[in-house]
Amino acid sequence: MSAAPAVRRAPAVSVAALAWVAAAAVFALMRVGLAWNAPVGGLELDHLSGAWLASLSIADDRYAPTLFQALTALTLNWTDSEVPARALALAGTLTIPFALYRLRHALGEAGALLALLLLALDPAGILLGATASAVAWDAAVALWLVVALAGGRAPPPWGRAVLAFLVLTAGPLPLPFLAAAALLNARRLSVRALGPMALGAAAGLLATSLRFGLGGDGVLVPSFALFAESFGASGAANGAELAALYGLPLLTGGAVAAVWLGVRVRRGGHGPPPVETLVAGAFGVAVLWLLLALGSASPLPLAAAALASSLLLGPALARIAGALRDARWREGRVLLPLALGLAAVACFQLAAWGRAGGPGGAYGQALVASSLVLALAALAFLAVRRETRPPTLVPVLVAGGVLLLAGASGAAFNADREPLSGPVRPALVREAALEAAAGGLVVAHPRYREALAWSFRDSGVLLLASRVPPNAAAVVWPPDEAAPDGFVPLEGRWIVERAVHPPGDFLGWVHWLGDRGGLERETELAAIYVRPPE
Amino acid sequence: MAEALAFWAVAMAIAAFTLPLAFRLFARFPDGGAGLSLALGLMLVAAGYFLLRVIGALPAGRGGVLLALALFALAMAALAIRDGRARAAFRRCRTGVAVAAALFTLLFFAFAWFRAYVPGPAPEYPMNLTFLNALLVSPDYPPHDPWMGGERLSYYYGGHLQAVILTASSGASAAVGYNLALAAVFASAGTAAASLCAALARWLLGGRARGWIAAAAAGGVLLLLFSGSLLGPFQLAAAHGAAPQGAFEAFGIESFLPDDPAARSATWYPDAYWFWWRASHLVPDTITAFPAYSFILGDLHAHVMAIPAMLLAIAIAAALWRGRGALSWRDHRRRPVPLIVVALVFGGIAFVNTWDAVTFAAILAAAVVARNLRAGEPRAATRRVVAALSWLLPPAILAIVAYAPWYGAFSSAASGLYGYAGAGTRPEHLFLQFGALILFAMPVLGWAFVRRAPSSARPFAVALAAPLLPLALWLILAATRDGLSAAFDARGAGGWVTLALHAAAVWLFTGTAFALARRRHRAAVVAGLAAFALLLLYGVELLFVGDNYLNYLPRYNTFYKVSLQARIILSVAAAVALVAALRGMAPRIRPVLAAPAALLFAAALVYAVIAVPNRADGFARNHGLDGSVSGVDSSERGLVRWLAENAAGAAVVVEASGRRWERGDDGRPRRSRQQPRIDYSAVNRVSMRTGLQAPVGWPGHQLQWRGAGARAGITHRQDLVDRVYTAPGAEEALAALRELGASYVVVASLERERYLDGVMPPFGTFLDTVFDVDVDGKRATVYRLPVAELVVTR
Repeated sequence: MSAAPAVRRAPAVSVAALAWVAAAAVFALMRVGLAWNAPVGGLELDHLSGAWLASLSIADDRYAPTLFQALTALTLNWTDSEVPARALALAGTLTIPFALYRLRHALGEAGALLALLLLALDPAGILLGATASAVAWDAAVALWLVVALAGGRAPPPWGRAVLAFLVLTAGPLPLPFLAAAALLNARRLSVRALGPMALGAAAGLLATSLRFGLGGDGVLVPSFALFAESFGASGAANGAELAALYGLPLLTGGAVAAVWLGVRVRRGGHGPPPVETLVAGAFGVAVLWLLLALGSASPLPLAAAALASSLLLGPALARIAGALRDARWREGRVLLPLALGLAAVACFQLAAWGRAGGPGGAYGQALVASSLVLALAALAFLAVRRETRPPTLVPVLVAGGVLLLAGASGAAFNADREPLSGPVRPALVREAALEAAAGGLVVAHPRYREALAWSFRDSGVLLLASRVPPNAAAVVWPPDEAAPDGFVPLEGRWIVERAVHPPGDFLGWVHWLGDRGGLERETELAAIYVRPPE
Repeated sequence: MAEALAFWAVAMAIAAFTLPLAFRLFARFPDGGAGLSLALGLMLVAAGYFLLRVIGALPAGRGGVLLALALFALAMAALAIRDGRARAAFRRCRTGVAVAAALFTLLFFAFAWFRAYVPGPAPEYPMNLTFLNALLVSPDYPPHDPWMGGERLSYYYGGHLQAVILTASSGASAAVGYNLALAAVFASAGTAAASLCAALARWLLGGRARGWIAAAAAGGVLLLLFSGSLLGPFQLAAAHGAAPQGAFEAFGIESFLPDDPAARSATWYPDAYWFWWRASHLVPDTITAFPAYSFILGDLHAHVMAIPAMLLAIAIAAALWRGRGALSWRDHRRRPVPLIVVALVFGGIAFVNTWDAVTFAAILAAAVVARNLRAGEPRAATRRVVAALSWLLPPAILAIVAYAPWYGAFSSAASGLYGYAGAGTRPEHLFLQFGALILFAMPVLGWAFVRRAPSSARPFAVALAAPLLPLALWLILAATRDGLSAAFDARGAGGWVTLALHAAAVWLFTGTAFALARRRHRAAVVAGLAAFALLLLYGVELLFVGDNYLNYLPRYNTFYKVSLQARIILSVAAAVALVAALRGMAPRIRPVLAAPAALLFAAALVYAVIAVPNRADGFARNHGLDGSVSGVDSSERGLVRWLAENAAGAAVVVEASGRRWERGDDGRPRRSRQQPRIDYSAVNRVSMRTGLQAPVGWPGHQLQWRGAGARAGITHRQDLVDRVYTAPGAEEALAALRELGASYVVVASLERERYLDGVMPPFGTFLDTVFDVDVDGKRATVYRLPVAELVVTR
């Protein structure tokens, strides 16, 4: 009798693989739109200005220069658009899912996936990874650094050299990871291991000190320069406000995960996995950076802390998911929905207050207070027993998830109306001034020195002057200064810079969660003067 | 309060980061060197920050300082991890660490509280605040001179840099940081003295004498920080009409008698304005400063900020001396960390206060040589001395190389070593100024004689060189400059007595040190320190370093700086010697020494007790820690704030030169007959508060820093500044501005007060008005050179 024919099985795709693809897709989708559509603003605006001037071989403090910014300057030799640079940024950022895939053994499959999802939804990470600021590749470099140090397989010597080159030519986001790595590996460091890294770092230092061809004036480490700048950046929203608006879920979750890690290590009596130790150390350094820079408007400290937090929180959430799966849900079938319902009542009331612009009457306040108290009491009742403790995290996870999604969607799809993006400089002034000048000399007031570099790129030769020469054809002037003699104003509202202010108080924040386009905007106007018609 | 807390937290953090290194260096100290860790850490952070700024690796501003701190913390943590002994050392020394932290906290906040009640700034406050701000804003290093636009700062600003590290890290303003830095120096000096004295006492008395060790530590703190000259009781008596003229004349202080014998102080402490300041002029034609005086005065001066560094240097020398085995250059290969630390600390002493470099390098050299001699047989002495020198050479070279960028910008007015041909110090003044400390140190002599060994005669014979060599040098130098007979004639009878007393003391203490060292007795280091201090005091009676005061106050600065060094060294030695002596006596006869010592101690503390409330105006009003805003109008504040926020770090801002101008009879501007003082005034208030460069500031001080050869250049700059403000037209003013390299001109109350009769040109017609405000009739304006630059956009 002949044997039965072999059954041909259809190719199987594992659930994990599908999950990875889905998470990577979410990661990419949250960034593509921003890279394509978002106006140039904030940090990107400063750094594109620096890169533009570098492409003209003009030294400027806004040219950091990281490797990415040097490549941006290169693209600006052929185009005046930010899109190619953003495409480069995106290309680098999209290696992050691969880096996390490599970390799945160290973080656990679910932990790495959840970390990827968190990174996908990190508002600061979305902004910096999809726009052409000098730190666009920082998150990717930091993650590959983690892969090299704690991903299991040590990279070959040439890999270490390349990584060292990339780290030294990157911005400051990898610094917390580097600091943590240096401390954790202090005892194990040998000349042999350091050799290739030193070579790579030296090459990077040479390249940055020579400003990638622009010429140098002493040693320059771009991560140091950008780190220092993060303490004095000015803008509409400071570090504390940015952290409150965009970083609350990740920072709080990261802090809790770090504490939980410490508790587990103490109870277990053994050291945590190397990658979690590294990331916990990096999180601590990044949070310290954030705390010291709370008064500054730079998003970098927040981005660094959120990056480290995501890697800590991912595995923690995976453990929580496991605990939720094993928890006794039946016993909470009344109290948990009750707590959620009461919390929802309080939230709806707060939202109403937010729309109204002020807290309601005594009845409303009593309703909110009692709802919250009762919800907390219900959760506390559940939390007392170990078996029913995990479900009490559900409202917290839901709240955190909602806030994270809100922040991510704002950053990804509503960038020009978010405080995170920083001030933008529309091209209206340039268009109007060039049209008014009709080929003649455009004169701008020194107050607009910073704005000229990017806004007026590829506009020929301008004159920056505090006194208008007689041969000026069009003048861009502050509206609060006296009009130049012999010129008349051009009708119109010419916006030089537009910044979005954060909500002023808690109720404003609540309102903003529901209506993200309603924040106060501050505009800096310019007046354009032309010669009167003869 | 928040700023004080942040400042304290940063200081504690730096001290904590440095603990692993301190444990390594000061392993034989009871507290593991915890009391010295802030001084050590600040020295290293400042050196690292300076070098990284010079090569351009760190940017200006707070971020650069925080980076330097982070790198330092990382390095120290890596050192601790690789060493592996830090944890065990911490467990062993945790009581000492806790005591050091508590003492630092107490001294820091107590001093900060005192400073908050001090109504007015110290005389050189403008200069020191200017340095702080300049070090913070200078776009590159070595930093620009804020009072000599376009030039590098030519001063020993290492201490100011340490103050900047603390100020910038904590986020405090420079004006508040000034006072908090004083508090940190005060507290750091206290903990360093306690640590050092405790160590010396422990080596001498053994580990079980805990109470006596603590007493030595406390004694060191009190003698260093709170003891003053014995003038205090006299000043107190005079304030309350109990001043016997005879006593004042006997001590040569009749000039301290009140002008009106019937006048009485309205308070328990003398209420005469700044009565305590006079203690600094006890010896004529010199400054007789001591730490208590300097801290009460409140000038954040180099010699004040160097006090913790001096104690650190002594501690390092003592720790090296205490080690086992001879040292040679080979040890640097095996243990490179001490090499780097010694180089940066001792090189840093020159950076903080150049006057201290030679003295404390000599102490280090003596300690290393003594260790090597102790480690071997007498017949191999020459070889061991050579080995000691071979150990000293690499850190000496490294110290110079590490601070070479600073040396390159530094010019000194020092013109060489000279023989002193003056009246000398009267013995009464010597007693008042140093008597208490010398007497407290004298028990150390007993160890050489009470436990006499057969060979003690030879050490005393060799010790004769100690007083004779400086005398011989004086004879040579005096003969070449003033002539021997003039030098002999100039010295008064009292001066000769003082010289003889000094010589005898130097001989006795040096002989004792040699004798004790020969017997490997641990009191040798205490005797050696006392001998060194007395040698310094003896030295300033014979020699001085020539400077700008050469021809009229020849030993003014030398006596000032060197006698302060001597006092600090003697404070440490005296505290340990006295406590050791008391402990060595039988309890029945202990009061024989204790009673007079207590009386003398109390007398030495009177100065601080009565001076503090006077300086704080009776603690009547809390002025806060920002001394820069008193008497400054709102317009001026706005002007300063605008410049700080908008002017580039390298900008040169023209403000009044300090001279007064008026319109003469011919209608042309001319300098007024009566000229106000420029130095010690707040004339350069914009550069003081912003750190931006002024074309010239405090010309008298610039002369001291750059030497007489700079006089013409300084005067030319003053003339150019005046030309800006008195120019008949735009062209002349613009030409002067261009020659000065200036981009801003300030016109506010001070300019209107110095350039009278409308001599100032109408700046608004040819300069851009970038800031203009009038509050309560006080107008302040900032003008800027017109901007005209082509911008290529493709």
